[in-house]
Amino acid sequence: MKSENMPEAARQEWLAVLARANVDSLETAWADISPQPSIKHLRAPEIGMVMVQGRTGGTGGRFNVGEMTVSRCTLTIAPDQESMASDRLTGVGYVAGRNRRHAELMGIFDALCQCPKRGPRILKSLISSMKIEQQESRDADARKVAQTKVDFFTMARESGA
Amino acid sequence: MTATHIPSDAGFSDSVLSSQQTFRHVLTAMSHPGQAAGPLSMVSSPKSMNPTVAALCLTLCDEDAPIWLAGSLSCEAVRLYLSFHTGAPFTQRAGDASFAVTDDLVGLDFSTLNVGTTSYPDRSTTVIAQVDSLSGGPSVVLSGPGVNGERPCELPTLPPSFLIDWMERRHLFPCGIDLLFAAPTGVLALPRTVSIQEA
Repeated sequence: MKSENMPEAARQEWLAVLARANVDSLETAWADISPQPSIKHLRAPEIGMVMVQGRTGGTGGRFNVGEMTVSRCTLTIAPDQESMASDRLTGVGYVAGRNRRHAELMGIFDALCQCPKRGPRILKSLISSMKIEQQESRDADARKVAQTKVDFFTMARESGA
Repeated sequence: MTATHIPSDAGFSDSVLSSQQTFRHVLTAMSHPGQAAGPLSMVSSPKSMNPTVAALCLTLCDEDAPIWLAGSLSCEAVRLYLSFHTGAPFTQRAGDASFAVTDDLVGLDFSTLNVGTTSYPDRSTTVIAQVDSLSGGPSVVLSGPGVNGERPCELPTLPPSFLIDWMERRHLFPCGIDLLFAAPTGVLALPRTVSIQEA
């Protein structure tokens, strides 16, 4: 299949952007796509739980942080009318939370991004702008938090006090 | 995840309804030995696997139910399909499997399967046998739980030693092997309790 030739890092990047994207803006972007490809669900959008694991300080032993809800979907699209069955592109969507439509849209856009014909345009217009938006909002949060940052330190007691 | 881990066949279109319906058919078949139940929900499946076997696996197998594959079902396409849709692990040893899925009854040695223990007879292997038709084999008379008196019926094509093996294993009860025949038209069960006599 096509995605074997895709540089994995590039796909990871757009998947990360799509997973954090606003559903409404994905919905709008989807409505703008024409012609719309035909979609076949391999795994219909569904909600489930995953166990999140962490390491203290990033180095300690693994422990279970807790469960979180995740929605996922796997689908294939036919990029254009005359494409053969073997040309179908597979897209996956895994998003935090219970929005099945988000997982579905993420899958659709993942598949579209892999399309040699349509992919580059979507990456250039949609993905890169969403990436900038997400980066800006992260930066804004970071700045807001930084203003109230407190540096803790231990005061040495005066002897005899 | 790359596309190489994703099969080209979809699972149930409505997983809750379809799997409940399939489970109902399995219960019906199990409680009426020798009587066909179905047809099961249609589901697209890899080439070597018929849709009934696929529906049964998608309904019954999960992360805690290891699968053992044999015959023409022991192929990469089937493995990919089942692990994507069920998450079930695969085992090389038939005795470790909750479900033995095969289309090769001749090559299946029932003594390698897990019959469960007297404390946990439910931990036995259930055989899902893919067949072309639910009839065409020996004419037999079934009796035992689920059969009012005797039930004459025709079984799918079976290896010659099957009936003798089956009757020899009956003394293992409450342990034993349950068998589900899965043809495109439906499912037929031989639970461990059933007694089979040649007609």
